[in-house]
Amino acid sequence: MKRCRQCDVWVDSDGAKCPLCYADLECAQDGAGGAPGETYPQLGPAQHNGPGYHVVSRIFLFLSLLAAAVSLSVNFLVDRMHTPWSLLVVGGIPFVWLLVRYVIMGKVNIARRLMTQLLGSAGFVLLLEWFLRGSIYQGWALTYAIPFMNVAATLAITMILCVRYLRWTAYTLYQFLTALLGLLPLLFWLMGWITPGIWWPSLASAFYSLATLAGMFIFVDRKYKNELIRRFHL
Amino acid sequence: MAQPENWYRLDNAAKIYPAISNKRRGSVFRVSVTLRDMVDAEALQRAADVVVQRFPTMAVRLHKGLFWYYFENTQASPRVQRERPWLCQPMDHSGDEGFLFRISYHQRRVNVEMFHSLTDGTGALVFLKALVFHYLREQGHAVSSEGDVLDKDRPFSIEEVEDSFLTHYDPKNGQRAQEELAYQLRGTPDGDGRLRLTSVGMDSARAVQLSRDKGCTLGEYLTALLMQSIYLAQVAGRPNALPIRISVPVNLRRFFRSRTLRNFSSYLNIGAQMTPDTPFDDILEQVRRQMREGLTQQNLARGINANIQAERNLFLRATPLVIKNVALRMAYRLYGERVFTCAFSNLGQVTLPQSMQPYVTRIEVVLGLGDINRLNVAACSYGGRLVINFTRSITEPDVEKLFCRALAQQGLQVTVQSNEGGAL
Ligand SMILES: [Zn+2]
Repeated sequence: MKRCRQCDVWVDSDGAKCPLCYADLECAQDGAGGAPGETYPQLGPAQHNGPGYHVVSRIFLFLSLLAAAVSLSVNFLVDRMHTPWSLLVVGGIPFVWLLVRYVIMGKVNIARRLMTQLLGSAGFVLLLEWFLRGSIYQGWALTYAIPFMNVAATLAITMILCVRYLRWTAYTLYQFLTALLGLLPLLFWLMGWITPGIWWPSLASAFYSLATLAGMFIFVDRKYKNELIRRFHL
Repeated sequence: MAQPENWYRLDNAAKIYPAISNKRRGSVFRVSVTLRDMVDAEALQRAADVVVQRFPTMAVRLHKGLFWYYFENTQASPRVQRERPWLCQPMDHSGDEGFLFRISYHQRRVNVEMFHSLTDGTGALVFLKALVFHYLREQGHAVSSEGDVLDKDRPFSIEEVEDSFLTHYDPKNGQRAQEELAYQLRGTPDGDGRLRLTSVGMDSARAVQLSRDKGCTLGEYLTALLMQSIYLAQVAGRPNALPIRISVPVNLRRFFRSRTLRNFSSYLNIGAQMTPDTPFDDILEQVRRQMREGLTQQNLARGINANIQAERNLFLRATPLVIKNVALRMAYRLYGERVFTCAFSNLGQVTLPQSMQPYVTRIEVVLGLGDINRLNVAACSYGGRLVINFTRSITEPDVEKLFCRALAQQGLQVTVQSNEGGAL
């Protein structure tokens, strides 16, 4: 045990200085109780961890904003936004961010990432569709793209559920939500938003969703109900 | 409330922590015992395997529901680790183990670091006692629980998992008033975001005598001394500074009947009017008055109501968790830690069964830190020693220095340990 005369305290330390006032410590034999020696694992000198990957993120964020600003300005200068192609760039950037940062680099549950990807892609194709309005491609997003994406996402999550069934609790919620989203094209059809006459993709999506929901209820009914109660408790 | 057997709702106080925790704010605290002998890691692991079976509310993972977080029981067993110099680091919720507590050891000491959603200091000490009890058994020592340890042979009681906030909620009591902003310590932040620990030990009987001489409790005395130290270290000479307020957690089990092992504590924010010439006795008197006014059943019941009423609001309940989290984070940034300067948690006298006492030399508590407050203090006493642990995120130890010097001036033999001594 060492002693700091400035503070009038005993110091149990391997160091040479008082941790309170940084004065030099005195060695003293007649210490008050306790064996000398390391008591807590000691902090080394500061590492000053560099910002590292945050810099990369920030560079990309800066470039994204720059790209958006440049395309908007060029678009405005060239044709006063008559053909608003720059909005496609502006809308596409968040989509790419979502894809890279959340879906590809993300660490959360893969089913949740798939569902997020589904929502993000739906947003992006809607933007594309708005951009292509008036052309022969009008209505393709709601008619074909979104119903097919729903089926694909629902199927993908079902496959993950089957392969990694030990972790089924983590995926059930997203299977359920994705299947619910799959019913939406039915609404598009009823509201008359799709290309007239081409109703089969919407119907297929809704049918596939219902089949998935029914399958969940039939095959894993009780555990599945418990999982839903947990996930949705108010 | 009936719960299915393998999952739990978070208790009322626990709900805030998952929302506000991040890489910098772990909402983690630590309770430790120092043993007579060096720790045997394998025996400690075996004791941990036994003890998690006894505490179903601790062996859980945190999951997100659509509206609330919830805990799910896990059959896994926590891996005992070596203690690292970085203390009270955030728990990795998504890790493979996913445990919300951490058992570590260093030389003679066993630590349990706990995510605050699981339980409060009282609950953590119950868990630690059981862990050490089974560890000593594994080592072949003839210890017996003497009714003071929840060992594996004591039957589990449903009361241990109760959310006592709900049990003691009574809308008749009214609500607590809004708190004001408090002074925040200034200083150089550690470049790596590490916490510095200063552990201050002294004879507890002499410290208690010191407070008796002033006609107050040890908790009141230490709170007043801490307030004076902060004032003299930073605020004196700054007439426009916000008032210093110390957040003192209150163990509600002392006021309301409860045997829960989950969170059941509230807090009082204690402030004082000071000038550089205010005598210590004046500060002490102000602290004592506020403590005695605050520590009444009625006032504490108001605190419970304020929390529960927000939680019972159907509109808030039906808000998706993502949005709740954003709102909670914003509210916390504005009011959470900003209404107090530092927390001072006094767990008081910790008891152990007679048969365990020869093997345990010291018990202590360490609080983690968020990114707004720069200092937290925790105290408890055991075996005639009072240990007061200061955790800070700034490099300057001025408050600790004044605090220790004041105690030394009163004739106490103060022993200081630190986790940065080797670097000095
Ligand atoms: Zn000193």
